Amino acid sequence: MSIRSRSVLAAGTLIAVAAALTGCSPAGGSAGVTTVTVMYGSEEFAPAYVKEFESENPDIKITMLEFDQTRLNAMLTAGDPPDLVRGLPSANLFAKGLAAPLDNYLASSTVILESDLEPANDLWRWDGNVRGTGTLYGLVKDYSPDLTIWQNTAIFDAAGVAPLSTSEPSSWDEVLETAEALKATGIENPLGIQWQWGVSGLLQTMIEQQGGQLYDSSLTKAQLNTPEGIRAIQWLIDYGTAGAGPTSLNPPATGDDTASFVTEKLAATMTGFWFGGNLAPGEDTTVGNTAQLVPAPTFGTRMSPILGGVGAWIPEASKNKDAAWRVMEYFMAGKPAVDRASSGWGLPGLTSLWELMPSAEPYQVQAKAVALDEGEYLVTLQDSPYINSNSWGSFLDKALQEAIKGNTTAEQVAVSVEEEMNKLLAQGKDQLG
Amino acid sequence: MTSSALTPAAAAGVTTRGRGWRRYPARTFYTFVSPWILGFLLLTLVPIGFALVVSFTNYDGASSFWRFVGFRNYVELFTSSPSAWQSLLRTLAYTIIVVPLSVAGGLFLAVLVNRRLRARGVVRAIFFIPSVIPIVATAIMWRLIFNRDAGLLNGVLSVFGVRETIWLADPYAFYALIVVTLWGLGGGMVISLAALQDVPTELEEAARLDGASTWQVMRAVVIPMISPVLYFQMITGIIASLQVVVQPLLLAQTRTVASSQEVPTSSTLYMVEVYNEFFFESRFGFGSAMLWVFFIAILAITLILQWLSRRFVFYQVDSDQK
Repeated sequence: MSIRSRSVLAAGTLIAVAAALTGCSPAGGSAGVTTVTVMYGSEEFAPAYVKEFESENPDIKITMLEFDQTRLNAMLTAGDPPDLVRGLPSANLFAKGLAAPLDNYLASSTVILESDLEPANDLWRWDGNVRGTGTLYGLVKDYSPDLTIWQNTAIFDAAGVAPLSTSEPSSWDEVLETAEALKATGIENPLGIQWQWGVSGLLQTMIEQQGGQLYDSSLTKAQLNTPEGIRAIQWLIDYGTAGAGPTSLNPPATGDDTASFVTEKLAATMTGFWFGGNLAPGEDTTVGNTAQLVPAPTFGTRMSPILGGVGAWIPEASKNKDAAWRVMEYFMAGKPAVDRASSGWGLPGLTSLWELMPSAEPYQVQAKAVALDEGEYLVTLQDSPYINSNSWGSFLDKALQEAIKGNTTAEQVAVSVEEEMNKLLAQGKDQLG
Repeated sequence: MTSSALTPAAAAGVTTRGRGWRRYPARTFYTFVSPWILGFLLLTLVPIGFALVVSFTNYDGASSFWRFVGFRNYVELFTSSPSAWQSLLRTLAYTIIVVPLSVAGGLFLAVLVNRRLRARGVVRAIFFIPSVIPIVATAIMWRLIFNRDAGLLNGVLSVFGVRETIWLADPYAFYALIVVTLWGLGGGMVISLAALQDVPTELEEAARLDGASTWQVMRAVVIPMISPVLYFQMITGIIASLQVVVQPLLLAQTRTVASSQEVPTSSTLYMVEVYNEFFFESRFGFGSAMLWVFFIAILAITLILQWLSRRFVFYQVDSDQK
């Protein structure tokens, strides 16, 4: 045998051994045990939950991956995605066929009943054209009517400015006038609108509240240069120009409005129901004594959208969908869901869990009542499958910054953002067909 | 043949004479360099080639809905992407400011600590340590210093009656980025210091005997002697500055994780723009086209500088070498 032949043989043996060690075990794990790969935040899907699930379900082993969009993309591309993934619902995700339909699983489930699903779960529905109806592709972990506002009545009282109504929605103009009135009394940042989280959802809500739509009927054109769009953009410019609260040009020192509200530097913050989690008993804060949740403001028709709707979905290419659904059931209806509901951070995705929400403090009772009322006005905002919702943030923010600095007008913002978005929409359309 | 008949090189096992001997050193050579060759092929050449292919597609990084789109991404980049070109101009401005200041600053510090000083080692360490502190720690420190409400800088300025400034937002974020970059001058100092210590003292003494001042000695003797090292710092500094992405991300005043969308416009350098295209817009095709254009631009800049370097870089050549 020549040296070359021996080398080839040795290399072949090495490859064979390596393959035997790494790749030749059954895809699902050892006999009878299915391995489910879960890509989630480890603080949300804690190791204790994994341990509990595995002890209750000895036929399923969970491999946890920390959520990482880049890694998820790579795994999806390679055709070997995780079996259960953290995510936000979006028409773009559904239209690409990346998520598996869950209707059959839900219909046969004894753990999660369709009748128990909060309407918020409709965010994960898509009928091929409209998000909010049709096939179910995921479940909401918890949610919030995100445009509801927390106000610290102590700051309002000290400034001699009437707080916003907690029973009826104020108009966006009233909200801005109130912020300006507070500003006039020397409060540096009266109202936070979580600008750093992106204002596209707020802008779209304002447009829809006036009867407009962000996209045309084909979902391939953005419609900002309309009376509704201009009015909404002008509101954001006025907010920034008046210095009513943090913007990208005046970011909160902590990078987040919430911390400023807790430390009583903001009189009001558009943090949605989530904020209650910051005021849980034991937290070293006094703001809970004077905090109230206020309905989402309006520009006409009352609407209170959920801008997120974070939950979980099962990739279409998953090789262990059945087992993944059982993990989904545990995460959405088992101990993790119970713990989330009783923490006060968000509203549970299952109606049956609402009774677990904390109600020991007056602000908790008040916030829950407002959240229940807002539930009547929950809407799914229009969504285009041809664009990634992230895309709006950067263009809109940079255009608004120029307008706040006085360099451009609302109309120019509308035109420039429309141009950028239409370009992306056209490419998305070209891609999806 | 006895060992005494071998040439010294052959005795050392590196002879190239004879069929067998010729083969073994080659095999040894390739065995030792194979990790680098494999690394270059798998981790550089293949990704570069893959990026080139992707740049001709509308691939989004996740779905199977993609196809070849020809030169569309390149056409878009050159005809209708003002933000990309603005970020490129910003990057060039950043490089033009940072590289000369880094090289000159490093040389200045090197000259300073090359003198007879008390506790010279401590002084050198003080200048050098910032350059070895992990970039994340450095960024956190500077974010605290630049913090609007509780930052050291605004605190000091307020003593002089200067109104608080939002350093990490536009338009100041660009200058904050430059300050943070220059904080690592010590790395260049160490390299320049090594070069300075290699300059023959007799040359400096001869110049002084001829009546040259300190500045003249520096300009006519020291700088030409260390010009290859300065050139090395310049070329690596330019390449690194053009590709900066981590610092702007880390300095962005975000709540938790660095987000390229929240980087202020003034510090949105070219690679931040590329990062945005990949990971926020999911436009892997367009992002790859941006990278390829940038790669060619950097290559061109490097080659031009290499050609120009003949005029200002002086390489020492031993007199017995041709």
